[in-house]
Amino acid sequence: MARYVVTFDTSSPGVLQDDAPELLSSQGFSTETYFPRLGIGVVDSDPEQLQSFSTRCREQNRPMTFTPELTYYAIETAPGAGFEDSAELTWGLQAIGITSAQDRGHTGAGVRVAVLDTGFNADHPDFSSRNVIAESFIQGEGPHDAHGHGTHCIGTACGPWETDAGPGYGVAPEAEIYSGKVLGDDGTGSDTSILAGIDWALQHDCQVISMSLGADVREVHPPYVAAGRRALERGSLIIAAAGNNAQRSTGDPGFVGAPANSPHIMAIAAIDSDLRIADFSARSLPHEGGEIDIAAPGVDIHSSWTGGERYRTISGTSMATPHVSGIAALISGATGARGEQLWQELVSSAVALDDEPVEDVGAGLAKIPDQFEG
Amino acid sequence: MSEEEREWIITVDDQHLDQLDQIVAELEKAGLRVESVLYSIGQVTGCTRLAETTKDSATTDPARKRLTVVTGVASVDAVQHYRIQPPDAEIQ
Repeated sequence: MARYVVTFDTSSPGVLQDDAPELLSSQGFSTETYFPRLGIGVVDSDPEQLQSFSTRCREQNRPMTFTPELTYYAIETAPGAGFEDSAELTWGLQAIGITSAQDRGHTGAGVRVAVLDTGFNADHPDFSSRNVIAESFIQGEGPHDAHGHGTHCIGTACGPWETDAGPGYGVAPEAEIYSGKVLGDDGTGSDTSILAGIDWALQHDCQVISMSLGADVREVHPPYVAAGRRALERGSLIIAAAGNNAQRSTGDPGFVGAPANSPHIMAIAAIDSDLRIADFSARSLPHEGGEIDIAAPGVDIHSSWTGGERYRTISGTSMATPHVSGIAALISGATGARGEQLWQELVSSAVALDDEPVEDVGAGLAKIPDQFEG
Repeated sequence: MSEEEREWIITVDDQHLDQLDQIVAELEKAGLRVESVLYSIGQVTGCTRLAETTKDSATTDPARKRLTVVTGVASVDAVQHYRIQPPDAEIQ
């Protein structure tokens, strides 16, 4: 049982005032929340009952439509009026609107998400039922995550909605995880490993490639222009961290580093639980491709870790990036959108953050759409 | 890559993507020790030996010119390196 909004889209007063409420009450619905001037009512029901009611209405030439009732929240952007981790959900999942996905059962099932990072902790208890494909592109090292960063990012993008030991922290809990170790246990990597990881992700037809890594280099690095473009053409969207080189409290807004500053790669900024730009989150560069595309939760993000530590809370544009990757997986799973089209859908479902400049947050807060068209 | 080598990424242009293997052979003749051929993105990674007497920067390294002139090569770029913060850092 759930609440649904029922609409009789007609201007005929007779239908609005008499026929519609009569139909509703003959079906057993209360007319207490029926508004005759609007021809709209709110009822408690289930989809099967409403479907047969809808058929009845059409047979009687009184067509109606129904849709799940939405819940509205006051939009708070004032400092101190923000989100916090609850027992059920991290603040990040709340902020991106995870309940939209939960209500509709959009889990990212069938979508392949490649996370190119320090590897994955395959022993983590929250992933024991998941089939993770893990590969290492670091010579002399296997795919295991000795650092933690990779496991944390995979957790945010593809971790569970529920655990027995703390809040749900993953956006797309049924996405297929492809963990590409492109950063060594010491946290370093090179174009060689990263591009090999991208190539591997394309071989596996991953719709989403998540890269929480970068170098504080202003110049666009040419190999990523070609790699990003070719990935898009093959229906893979590369989503990368903008960089943590800002220190806004001292007046330094930083700049988007490589490879996020590349034209065919999305650059992700970090916001805090008050939906303000994070102190460390890098600002857009003026050249094409150097813009921040979108922002996502990136301060005090709780997620999975390695080395026997089940969870850790850390901050970074590295943490914002997998929120967007997870949302991309949900959208792709629900609508089939890929590549350039998936990029556009992410941007168009973002919520503008009016208190922050576009150079810092792009289209705004990445959000799971209320309605998926596809 | 050994200490006396420089690492490169060679990007093949769109028109020659289906001739990747031939281009790899040409690059080897031009002095490239191939590390991997990335078919899905049309790129080749590999190393060239640094000249014994001079230590050119990547842009002036004569090896770069030799690789660039191979037919079908769109660009030759020196490999960049990336590092994330250690595990106990607050901001990652």
